[in-house]
Amino acid sequence: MTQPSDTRPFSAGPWTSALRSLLRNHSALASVAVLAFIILASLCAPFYAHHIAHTNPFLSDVAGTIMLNGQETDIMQPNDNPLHLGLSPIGPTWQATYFLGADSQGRDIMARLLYGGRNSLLISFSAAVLCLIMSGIVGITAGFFGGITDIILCRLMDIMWAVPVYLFAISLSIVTITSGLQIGPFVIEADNLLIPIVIIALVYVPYAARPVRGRVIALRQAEFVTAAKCLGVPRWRIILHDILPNVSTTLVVMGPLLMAMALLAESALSFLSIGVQAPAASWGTIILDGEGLIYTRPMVAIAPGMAIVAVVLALNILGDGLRDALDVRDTSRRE
Amino acid sequence: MPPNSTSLQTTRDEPVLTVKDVYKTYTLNKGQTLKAVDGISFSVMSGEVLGLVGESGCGKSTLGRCLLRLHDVTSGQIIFEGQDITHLPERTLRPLRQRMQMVFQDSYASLNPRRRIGDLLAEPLKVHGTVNGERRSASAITQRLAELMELVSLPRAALARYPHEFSGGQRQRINIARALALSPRLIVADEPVSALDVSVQAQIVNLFADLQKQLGLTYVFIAHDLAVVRQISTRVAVMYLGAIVELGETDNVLHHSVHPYTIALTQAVPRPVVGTPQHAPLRGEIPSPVHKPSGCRFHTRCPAAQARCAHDAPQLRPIAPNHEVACHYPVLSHN
Repeated sequence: MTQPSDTRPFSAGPWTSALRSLLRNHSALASVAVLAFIILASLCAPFYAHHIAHTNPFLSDVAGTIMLNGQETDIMQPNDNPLHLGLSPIGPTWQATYFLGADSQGRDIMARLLYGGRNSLLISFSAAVLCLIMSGIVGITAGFFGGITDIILCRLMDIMWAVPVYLFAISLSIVTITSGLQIGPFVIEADNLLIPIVIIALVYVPYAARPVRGRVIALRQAEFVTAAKCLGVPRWRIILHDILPNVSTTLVVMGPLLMAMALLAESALSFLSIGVQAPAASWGTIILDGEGLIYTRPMVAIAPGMAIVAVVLALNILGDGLRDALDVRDTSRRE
Repeated sequence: MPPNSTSLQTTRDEPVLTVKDVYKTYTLNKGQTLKAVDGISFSVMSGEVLGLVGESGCGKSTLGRCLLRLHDVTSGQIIFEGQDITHLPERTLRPLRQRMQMVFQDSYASLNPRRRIGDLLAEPLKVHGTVNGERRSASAITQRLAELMELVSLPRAALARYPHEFSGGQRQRINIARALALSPRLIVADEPVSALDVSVQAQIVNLFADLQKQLGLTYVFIAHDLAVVRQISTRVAVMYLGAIVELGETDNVLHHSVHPYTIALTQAVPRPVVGTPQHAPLRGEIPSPVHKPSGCRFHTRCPAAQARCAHDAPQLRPIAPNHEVACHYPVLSHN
């Protein structure tokens, strides 16, 4: 028998070759760069607030003043309507302090945007990971064992599916946000980030578990699974060594798309003030703050909106790139 | 690897595998049933190669899978090394699986594409991790993998590669190596060469033959190609619509065929001799196994059918030493 032409001692595994092909995909790389920039900036939020903007983004400062072009300027300024009724927060200064202006409480929008990004990204990432884990377990269990297990799990998911995602998330949030959650000895406070994370992860399980289940049903009938049974491999080992590695691509490809959906859901919940609780910020709560200022200071709502759009777009492009790189449909598998 | 002629002196008195009156019925919707295997009995002696031939859809693959309990039979008995394994629970069956293995038709589908060859071949060794009460050590596994590679004439470097890096013939060698990993006594080969190029087919059939002599294996060799079966089998069983119509020593069945179906099969093989008389091919299609003909299942296409054949089903009966046939009017004058 002739040896395969290439003589490296170890040939590249499926993950290594997927990574190589992802690195050749320029739009995916660009989206990774955008995401990395936004994540890094969010991580630097305390540094920005203390050392650049010199503000506390969680305290209202309606009576304060700042030095602007050598003049002392009020943060809350009289409106420029004919009667000078009411006050508006200062608009974008494009300087270190109040770069994007202030909200109606006189807090620095730029600093809040960075802090909000931390929460938004943390919640959407954790929710996506948690959702993938739960969907993986549910999808593999339903698909591999089939029969009554499959029927019960599928009907449960159908029930969840029948309720619109946002409506479902809103109802769950309203219940938990008023009283927090008590599970045995563990008490989760109403303002704990775990609450939106778990809720968002839960509502997307039916959407992610279904494709996993479909893939597992196809894999269960694959000849290599029959071969493993024939070798006397126990079922848990077949799931771990034969099913899971083949399902993991499906899960990885869904990851970024789920995170994008989770980010949108988190923003929606926070906008309805049933997500991240004040004084903590998320991009959704900042949009809510900007809602009342939309005519005079549109930047308050536009800035977090742009951040959400950028992250969601980047995640979608990354998801497409991953799908191409991992070649989930396995078109090139035969010579 | 040259065949070792001295090692083959296996006893022929005790059957390795006995199949008694096995039925495998699938229930379709509308209450119809499909009898894929319709009352089959035979024994395979130690060191023997039983060739199982028949057209596509005659139930030979289903039978092959029933033999190794990859499908459960509807009724009947499967006796392996004197032990009735028909209803053994998987846990009790697992140790026995070391002694009976399968090689599948699709060499690619039967190897998990995401695992290295070394990992795939080590799987059975790890699952059946104890030899004579002692755990297989890592070095013992490495050594066994090297032996296996040598048995199937593949370079040891192949262990570090993935299935898609090999040609069909090489992959089939890997499948054979995996089946041999636990030193089985019986191998059911389910059309192991029909998906390969003709030139490669001969190599793989020779490998099967060499290994059989060298290791004293017993095969049930399923094929639809008479040339392949003739080359390797000691005995041949011809199947038609889920039942054996002719069974006996290879020479008897293929050169002195008495069943009209076997005769049609042997005559359908193209002969590379100018002026060979052409025989009339069989008329019609193989009937649906859902709506089997009454009486002899072959009577609708049989050139020698008489009135009795339409209602009276013939049983397998001896017609000569080592030659059985299920036909009321066997063609004795043939050849």
